[in-house]
Amino acid sequence: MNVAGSAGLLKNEGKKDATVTRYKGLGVGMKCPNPDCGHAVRPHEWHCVVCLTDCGFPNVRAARVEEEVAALADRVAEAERQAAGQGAVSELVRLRDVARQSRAVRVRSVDEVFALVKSDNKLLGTFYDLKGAGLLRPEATEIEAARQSAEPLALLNYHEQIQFAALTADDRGLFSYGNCAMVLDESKIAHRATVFEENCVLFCQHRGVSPANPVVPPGFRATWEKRDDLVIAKLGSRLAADMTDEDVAGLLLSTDEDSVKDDFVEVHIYGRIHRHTLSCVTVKLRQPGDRALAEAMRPYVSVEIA
Amino acid sequence: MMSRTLVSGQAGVAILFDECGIRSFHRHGPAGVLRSQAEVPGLVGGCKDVVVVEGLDAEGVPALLEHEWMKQRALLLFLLLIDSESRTETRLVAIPDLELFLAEPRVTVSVLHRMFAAPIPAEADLPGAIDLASGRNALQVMRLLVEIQSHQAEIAVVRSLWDAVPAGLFGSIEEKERVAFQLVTDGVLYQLAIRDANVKDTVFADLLENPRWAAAQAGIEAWRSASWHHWPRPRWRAASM
Repeated sequence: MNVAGSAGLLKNEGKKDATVTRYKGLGVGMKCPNPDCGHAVRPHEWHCVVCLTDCGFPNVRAARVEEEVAALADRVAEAERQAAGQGAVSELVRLRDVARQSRAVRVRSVDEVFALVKSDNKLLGTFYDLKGAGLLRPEATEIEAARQSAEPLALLNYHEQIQFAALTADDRGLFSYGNCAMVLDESKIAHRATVFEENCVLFCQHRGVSPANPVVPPGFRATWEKRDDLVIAKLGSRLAADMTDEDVAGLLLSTDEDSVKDDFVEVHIYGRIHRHTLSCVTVKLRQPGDRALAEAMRPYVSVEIA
Repeated sequence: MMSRTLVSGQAGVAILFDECGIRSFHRHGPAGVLRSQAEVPGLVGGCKDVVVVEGLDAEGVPALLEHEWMKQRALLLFLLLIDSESRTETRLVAIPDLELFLAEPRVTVSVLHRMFAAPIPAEADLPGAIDLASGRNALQVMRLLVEIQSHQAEIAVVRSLWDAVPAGLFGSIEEKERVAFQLVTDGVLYQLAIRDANVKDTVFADLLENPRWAAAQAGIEAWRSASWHHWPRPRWRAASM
């Protein structure tokens, strides 16, 4: 499905200035930074299609758009006002510290993580690889098409390149997705990761974002370096006076056996994940064979048994 | 609409697509959770063991999921056990759990079929694995290891004959690989390896009579013909030619 086309993303309709092309709230393009080129680069393009100059990861560029930065700053200011009103200024400072030290965690089955860790060649694929291989044949009803388009709208035209994770304060993750949490090495992802308010599918559902109303409101995403701002904007109003450190850190991620009830800041990582992208893994022993797989990963990655 | 179920033993997840929508089933987790299409990526991720089953209802999904998971997990533990590069501690930890899985005959058969797909590679350590299993008194594991070890020569012959069949006879390399995977999981390579030489041809004959393999008939015929250089041609066929 060509989401951009169906959403009316027509380059010529955008307002232009010297360096960017705006797409009616659907992203901001740029001119290729190569002085000998200067060709228009669309919001989802990593490289200039003319000269292949690296123009930056699309998700990172999207988070740096002026409107996004300004809207997020407004939300942060509002959250700080609310926290002050609650007498929770020190808690706000602690929450910001927690966010600054937070890491990205992705949870899968230990079987899947083992397969990734064991081989230097294996890359963690995406759903779209499976679909391309003909293994998945989603039903082509209108309802399914509308559902399917929620994720692309938040990551317009580059969603297939994104790996999803969650921010964590304690290296524990969303164990509703499996029993092995992969903590990603910040130095391997910071330049290509951004953070988003929540699960982007739920975000679109909560705010009525759909192909008929495709504009994702600004202020709900940030670069990795600014993840503390997004955390404050999202969670600042939940702070209360006299919260313990554990309470404050616990706001960052809450999980349930049913993933629909999970609440977290979603991390979007452009590109694949290799075993050397991992910092460590935490395995919850749930079933026969888990310990053997956890032990088998030890030569390749730091393993903690939970 | 006919239902379609995606099952990944590796992910421990089954996803049922039917007239009720999309529902996920998790091992030791919730069953029948309504999902959007966009959530499917997070559920099956990059797992390569996804199988598709058509016509299954919601009641049948958990049992299918459990079985696929057990097959996948048992195979993984078996491979860990025979891997000479695995640490001894890891190999030892794998044994009791593998023994547990092999108590289910269908799981044993599944591992056996997969291990008869090709000869054990050089980096495997079957004798060492047998010693370790013996030390743990894991009888099912030992039996499996011994059976696989004792048929290595025949496994190599069956496999080399298959590899020599031109992919073009199946239509493409991908189609030949798809047929091969099905033959392995159905136990055809296993049967060819274990049967006495003078009755191996009946395995081919059964295949060629089965309409399920009609599209692969040319390739299977070529495979059969090549086998006559290694094993005695059946008397009735020799006499008629």
